[in-house]
Amino acid sequence: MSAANLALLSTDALTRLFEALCIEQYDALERNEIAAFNRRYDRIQAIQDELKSRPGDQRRALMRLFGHSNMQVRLTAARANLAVDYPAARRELQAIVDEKWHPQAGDAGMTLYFLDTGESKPT
Amino acid sequence: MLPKHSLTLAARPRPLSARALACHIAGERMMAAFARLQAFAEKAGFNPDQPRVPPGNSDGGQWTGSDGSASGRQPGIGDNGGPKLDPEEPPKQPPKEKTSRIKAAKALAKRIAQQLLRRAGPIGALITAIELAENYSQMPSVTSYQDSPKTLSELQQNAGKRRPGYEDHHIVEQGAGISEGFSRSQVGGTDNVVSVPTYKHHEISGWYNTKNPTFGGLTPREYLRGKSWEEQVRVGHFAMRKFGVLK
Repeated sequence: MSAANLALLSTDALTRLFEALCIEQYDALERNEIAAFNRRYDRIQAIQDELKSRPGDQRRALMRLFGHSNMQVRLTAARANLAVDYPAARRELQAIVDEKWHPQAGDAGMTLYFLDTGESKPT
Repeated sequence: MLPKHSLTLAARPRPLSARALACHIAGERMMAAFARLQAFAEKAGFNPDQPRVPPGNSDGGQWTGSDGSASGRQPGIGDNGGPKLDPEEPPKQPPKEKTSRIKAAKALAKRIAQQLLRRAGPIGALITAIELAENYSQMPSVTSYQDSPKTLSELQQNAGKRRPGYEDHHIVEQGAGISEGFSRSQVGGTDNVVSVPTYKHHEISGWYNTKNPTFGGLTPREYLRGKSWEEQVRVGHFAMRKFGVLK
């Protein structure tokens, strides 16, 4: 879906699309389908860009996906909010680490590590 | 002199108290396993108080409903229409397609790992493994996924042994390392190759090769391109720690 088409969708609809794509990413990882995961990454990024451009930075809407039953949804929503609400996003990332449900727990741990070393900065 | 067993708990020799504690822990684990077995039985509809057909009948001893009809299943978790409390159960029969089979086996490996963490302890996890995993050809990988983190030397010692359920992992990635000008002896050296559980290897390799917002949308492999050997080793060790492979 193009950026222009994403702009036509409500924040709620974008959140649902984000959720669905993250679940597809989870399944792709479980099947070792790396290319399928990466294709969805770009689509998810486009949704985040659209939400960010809306008044008040609507990436905040993705925070309602914190605690989701799918770990990839939680991880992606948490990282999307690092620049919006850093303490809350960090707490969610740490909660994912503590769950030890891999690979998302490992990925969340690496994200925190690179944030702490200053090599990664939320945007 | 008083016999040993008449001593107060505080006055008993230390090894005895430690053994008592170990017994207590083992007992607790066994009770948790029983609770889990009971849950399995209830889920299957088993009720020891359910009426049976009286002896003397051709079907004497068999379960029957309270009204004499064939009985229904007992209500269980989820029957009240509430949300599911747990992730989906992995299928008990392995799917035919290879990627689905691996996916199902990974789900099983994770479920067992979660049980080890928070539920019935090792005995409960073992029961689940025996019940569910005997049909899976992926069983060695499901089992190795439960390994606790090891030291670097332990992981290095087993490299190259081709053990079922394990794969060799290059800390500085093989292809990337050589294309960046690191020597083959360095990339294939004993310091750089470790033996890790197969599914953990998938997870770590997956992390290296998937796009990641932490690196501005690059994959970690792309992010590390051009970095020094030491830097790549540092990240490699850290990834193994975060994915539960390295102590």
